[in-house]
Amino acid sequence: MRVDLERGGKRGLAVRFVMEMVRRYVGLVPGPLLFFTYRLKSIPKGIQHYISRGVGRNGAFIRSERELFAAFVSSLNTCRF
Amino acid sequence: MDAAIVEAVMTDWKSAPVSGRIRAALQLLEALTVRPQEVDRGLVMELESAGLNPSEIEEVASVAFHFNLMNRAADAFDFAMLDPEQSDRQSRFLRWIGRVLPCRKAPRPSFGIDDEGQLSPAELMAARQQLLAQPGSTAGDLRAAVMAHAGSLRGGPVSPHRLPAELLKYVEALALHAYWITDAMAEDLKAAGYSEEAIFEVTLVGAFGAVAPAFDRLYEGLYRDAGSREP
Repeated sequence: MRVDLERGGKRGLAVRFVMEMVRRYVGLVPGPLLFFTYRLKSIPKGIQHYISRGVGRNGAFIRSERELFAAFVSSLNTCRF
Repeated sequence: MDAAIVEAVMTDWKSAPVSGRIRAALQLLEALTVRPQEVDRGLVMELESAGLNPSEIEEVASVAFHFNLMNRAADAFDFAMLDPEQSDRQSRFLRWIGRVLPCRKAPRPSFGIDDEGQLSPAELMAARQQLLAQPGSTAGDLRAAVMAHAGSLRGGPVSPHRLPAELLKYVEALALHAYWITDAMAEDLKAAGYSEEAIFEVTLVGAFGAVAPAFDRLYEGLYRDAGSREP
């Protein structure tokens, strides 16, 4: 284990509750949720706000196009994720 | 989207059967991800000629930032892969999140200029300042060195800081080919006295530092000579 993102870090009760809901629904807590909540206050809001510009229904691109973009970037980074 | 089109894009996006607007978006994604040094005003003009307006360029850039950051985190922390059913459930969950969260409108103007005259996306400028200034398990000077070194490897200015030797291999892998990061690298950092929280901070700051310069260059190209034009 490189860094125990699941058991380590600093998470409040509400975050742990949401994580448990996700774990029950998905079957495990996906890496990005573990990453972004590991020390929630250490993740600048600016990062979350900038990312959220490309998420949601009001953008210029439809969801399948954004998914293509995401897969393309992961492919360029030789990342299976 | 048709699986054959996705496959064609992954194989060779330049010849894939997609619209000119999507091809321009792919061109931007490739530049931001693989050739950050080539992101400049000339690229922005090419994208605009192909039909992307500044607001669309910013939207594509946001996806590029998200996945360039997250790919590095995934490789550094060895995220668990989801099986097909878990992946499907995660997608449904994210679609629900996407319906609940509107696409965030960029602040106006969508860029900021720091004390050194660097033009950046407004949110990333604030994020950079917070990452360096906030209290943590590592010293602010160390975080500044990690961020600057990672950035200098991907189109950012030459780092004025000296990076501790034990971090060189890890930060360079994180910046250039994060899939090379191994358990042994993390163990070496722990043996050198880095706690798991410190490794988390180094990874977050290093990934941000590696990714952000391309976006500074993009926003320079979008807005430096264009005054405060609105997307």
